[in-house]
Amino acid sequence: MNTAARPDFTLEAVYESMVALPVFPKIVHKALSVLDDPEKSIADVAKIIKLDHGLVANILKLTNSAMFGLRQQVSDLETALALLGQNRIREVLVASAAMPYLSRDLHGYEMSPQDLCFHSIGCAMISEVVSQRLGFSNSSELFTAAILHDIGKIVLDIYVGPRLFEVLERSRQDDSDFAMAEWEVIGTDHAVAGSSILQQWEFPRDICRAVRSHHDPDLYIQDRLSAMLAFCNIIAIQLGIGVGTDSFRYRLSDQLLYVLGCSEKDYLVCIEDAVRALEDAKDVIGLIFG
Amino acid sequence: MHEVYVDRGAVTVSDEPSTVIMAKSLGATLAVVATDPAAGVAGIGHCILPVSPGKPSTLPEVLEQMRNLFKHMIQKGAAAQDMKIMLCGAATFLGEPKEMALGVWLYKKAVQALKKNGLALGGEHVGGPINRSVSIEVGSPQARVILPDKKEILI
Repeated sequence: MNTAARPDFTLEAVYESMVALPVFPKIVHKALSVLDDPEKSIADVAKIIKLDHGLVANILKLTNSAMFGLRQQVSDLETALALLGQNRIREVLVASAAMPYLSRDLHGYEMSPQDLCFHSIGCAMISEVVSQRLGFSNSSELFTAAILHDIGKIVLDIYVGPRLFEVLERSRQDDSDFAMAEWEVIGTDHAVAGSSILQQWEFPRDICRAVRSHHDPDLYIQDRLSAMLAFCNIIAIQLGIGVGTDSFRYRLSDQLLYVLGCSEKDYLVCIEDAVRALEDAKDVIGLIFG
Repeated sequence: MHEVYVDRGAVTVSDEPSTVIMAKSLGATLAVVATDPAAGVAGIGHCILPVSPGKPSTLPEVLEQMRNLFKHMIQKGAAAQDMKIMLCGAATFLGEPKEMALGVWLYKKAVQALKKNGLALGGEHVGGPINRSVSIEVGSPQARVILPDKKEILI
């Protein structure tokens, strides 16, 4: 048996690596919780955001972008926050904080730094139009889950990257589900790894569950947030948004459209709306990257 | 060499020598590639919707997009009988339910349209769990398909 070809890629090593990953910015978590508190005001949110110059800059850039069509440039944070509204503030916060993690080369998934970023932002933009089309009220949680759903790929790529080629080979040879091949080779998959990271970062349980389920057809039909996330991810992949080598190598649930109450016509309208949303996403990505 | 990228859901046709027209990361969508090397005209129509979703739509359905492509090709001097038509993209998930099989749906509609109009399919690289990009150089009889591992295939 050739043990030399098998360095320490044990599951324990992968999970230890997750602990070593820089934590999601506390300021963002704090701002999000103040945003949800009915007793707090926009001024309270502004007080926290002011501590992070990068966030302030992104919020001002977004508020002054063509998307809002304002006649005058806004230069103070509180006015910008009032104009953006609660949902858009949440989205800018999550997107701005997530970008440093998402802008990475993922060799094992044959994804460039732009691919993961476009896929995550694209999926989040799609989540907004799909929420609207299918009447999903919890669009902010879906947006957060959409931005962060592939975060587990970063850990697996950094720490078990070389073995991902083995995963891909196995998936290609057997024409099997990529997540299944990840389990066979590594002992976990990027959805489970992503969910563990988000738990460590103290994201709400529903978001962690949706991320955990997004490639598991038996799991994602069990709750609406997970089903919505899986659906948005499928549309992003079908439209070729930041697609990796694994992206089409997953099984889909034949009950997904039924669970979502989505007709074939709705599905096509969602695709069309998604294409338009992705045009908008170009601006947002530009804004976030400066 | 001058590269021109096809926007999502758009048609791009060129008669400029040394121009390469490219549709990137097709996913399940379909690129209809047409070339008339003798006339020095080539183009790509990017198809996203297999049929109209039944409301005023900003994206043309596959038949309309093919019509747009051929109309632009002929306007630039291509001859219908000399055109080579190729299909690329239409990736599928594993065990994809038929109501979500966007790639299959687009491909079938495109092939039907070609048959109905007596046009031959000159080549294809479609289906399976593979994301592709495709390019055609003006004057070339073959399209170049680019796979995720950067391997290239001529069709």
